[in-house]
Amino acid sequence: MWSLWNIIQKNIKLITRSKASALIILLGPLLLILLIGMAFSGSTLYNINVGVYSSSYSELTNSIITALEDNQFFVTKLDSEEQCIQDTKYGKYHICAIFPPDMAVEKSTEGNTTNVITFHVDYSRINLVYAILDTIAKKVAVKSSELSGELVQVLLDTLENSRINLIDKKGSITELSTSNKETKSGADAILDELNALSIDFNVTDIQERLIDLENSTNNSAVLDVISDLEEEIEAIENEITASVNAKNTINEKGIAIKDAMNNDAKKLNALKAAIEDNIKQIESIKITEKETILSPIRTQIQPLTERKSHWNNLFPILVILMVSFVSLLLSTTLVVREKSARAYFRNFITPTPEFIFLLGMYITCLMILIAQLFIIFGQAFFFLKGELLAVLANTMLFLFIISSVFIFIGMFIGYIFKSEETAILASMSVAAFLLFFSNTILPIETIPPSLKILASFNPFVLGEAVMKKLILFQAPFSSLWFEFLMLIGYLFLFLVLTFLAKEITKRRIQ
Amino acid sequence: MSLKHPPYIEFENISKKFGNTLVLDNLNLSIPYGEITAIIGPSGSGKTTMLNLLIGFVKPTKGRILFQSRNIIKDFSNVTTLFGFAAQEFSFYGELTVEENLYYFGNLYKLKKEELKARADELLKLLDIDYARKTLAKRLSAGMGRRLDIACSLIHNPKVLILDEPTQDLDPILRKELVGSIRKINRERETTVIITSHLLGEIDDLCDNIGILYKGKIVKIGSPEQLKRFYGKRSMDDIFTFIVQKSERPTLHVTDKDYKEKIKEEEHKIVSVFGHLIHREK
Repeated sequence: MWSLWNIIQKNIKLITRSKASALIILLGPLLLILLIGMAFSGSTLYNINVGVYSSSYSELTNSIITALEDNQFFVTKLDSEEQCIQDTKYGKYHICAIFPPDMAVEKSTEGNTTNVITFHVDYSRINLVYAILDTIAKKVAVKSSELSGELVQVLLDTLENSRINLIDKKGSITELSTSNKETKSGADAILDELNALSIDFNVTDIQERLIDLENSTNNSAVLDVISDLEEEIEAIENEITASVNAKNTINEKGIAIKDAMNNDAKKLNALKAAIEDNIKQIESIKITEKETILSPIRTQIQPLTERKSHWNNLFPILVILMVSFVSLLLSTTLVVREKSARAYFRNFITPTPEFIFLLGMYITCLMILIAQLFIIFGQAFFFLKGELLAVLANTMLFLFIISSVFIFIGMFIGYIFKSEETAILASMSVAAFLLFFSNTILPIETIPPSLKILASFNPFVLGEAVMKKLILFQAPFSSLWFEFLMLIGYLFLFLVLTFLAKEITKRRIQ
Repeated sequence: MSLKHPPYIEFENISKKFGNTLVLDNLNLSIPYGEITAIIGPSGSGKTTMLNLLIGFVKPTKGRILFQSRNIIKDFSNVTTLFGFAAQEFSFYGELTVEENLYYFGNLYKLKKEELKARADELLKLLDIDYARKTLAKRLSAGMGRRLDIACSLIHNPKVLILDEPTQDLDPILRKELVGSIRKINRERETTVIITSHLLGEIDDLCDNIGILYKGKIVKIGSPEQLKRFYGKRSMDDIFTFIVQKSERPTLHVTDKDYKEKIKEEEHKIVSVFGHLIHREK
């Protein structure tokens, strides 16, 4: 045990007494994490240069450009579409937006492409492009929504006015219907009275009596009177016949009017029913808010955690990034330096077992890493506070395992490569390889399934997953057993490999 | 030529191959207790390999090495503390001080704290580097560095001190001082010293025995005087040059019988030369 402590003490002295090493090994990662922490303490994009071009800027185009121009975006109007695209290719602008000439809302019905804004983006900056597109699309969508809102409001107002008019006219129809009914009743009464009017006088009896009287008398005067009366009666008879005819005609016309009025009444009822139906239909429109009509289905993105800045979300990845790079590089550097030290040989001829030297190197790396993690977690407490305390024990256990895995990988590399340069290069390459096949640069879902399976066993991916689950979601240990077992497997594998590699270096010295 | 003391360390039929290269070829050698024995030979003759075999750093392809009749190849872990080794290059940490280097290696030999301190103090005084105990080892001069290296080799109080080219890269004054230190260690601590060197002048002055290693075999071993008499040379340099040029067949220890035969041989040569001269004068 004393030998082990002796070796660790020596290793730490060697690191701290070499100023350059101490600076790179100890302060480098801390400086890195501090800078990253400062850089990602917000959650927005900054200083995005947008190139725009339109052959003819309309009021609408300018209003969208104005909407884009805030502290996030610098918008530059360019002279041609080609220039806009070219400058975006050369990185002068992050995105190029081509607006159609004289863009106007009214033109939207003229064709599918009239009001289309085309964005040219550099997909090689894949991590940035989606963020920019998302932000710009949101800003354009806000403007588009405003315009749509105005249009929908006009429609809604028109519909409401129609409803009011219909309700209003519905009253008039009711009045007309009532009036029709009354008129019809009047007509019925007239016809009834007309029918009740008896004008069917029988003058034959009078005429017979007059004939009898004429026959019974020879009085000329009487006969003249009778003759006059007969004429009068004939005239009356004619009048009566005319009256009866007129009565019949009136009756027929009255019936026709009544029928017409009945028809009118039916039409009025139908019209009324139609108006009522329209009103009912208009009133049955339950959604009358323009916001709801514009976007009847609304999406709401609810974060799984309540973090506010990139730093909070990035913290687990940053820790794994730091642990992996520092562990790999530190252990490789220390092993190579130890190997190339002239005193390395002397260690082999002492009775101290070789495993103790291996263990000493490992513990040295772990101690340095713990010191760095202590500072980083000190910073993290500022952001995460109590949340971190709740999972501190599991996090520390996990970090111990993952650090050990990366330390042994680094030590293995350090032992198998002869020169410091190649060892560091190999270590960097391994770190870059692990990083590339993880979720940090590109989602592993973007790589082919066969590689994805391999990538899912990448210690970096496992570490990243566990750290996220632990710190962001406070996952219990029981949900992480697979990752833990995998990492412990890696730990033993690389421990054995490192020991074997150390044996090989011993043979090389011989 | 025989050794003054009984064998302390014995190489018996030792062969060592690295790949297809035979470095040591059925080597036999006895090293006596309490003496300073040098192994000399041209570069690539297998001197360093021989020393590495002795400290157990490499294993022989064939043969055995006995330390006080114990086979150290089989029992290396038990005898490792008996040897102290200083390689051709300094074997200490430049970023540690002189004292820290001694404490570090002392701890690797599992010495107790008090014992280690006493041993370190003693060695620093013995090797005359006490005044630099707090100096970083990388700041030491070549001579002081060599002394620290020897001190590191002696920190666990070994019975045998093995020095591989200790005077290499040192100027004549430093060499002289170092030779004095080695002699002091040998005399004051009764430490058996095995040394390899190219610088035969110092070897001549310092060593009790010199073994000549050539093409993986010990060609001759004896005291400097015995060797000089045997080869009829005035210095070890002359003997070394002679052996390398002649590439003699290997024989073991130079005995008085060998020596007498050699003298007879030389007498015959002288007689024939004189006879030839007389004949010409006539």
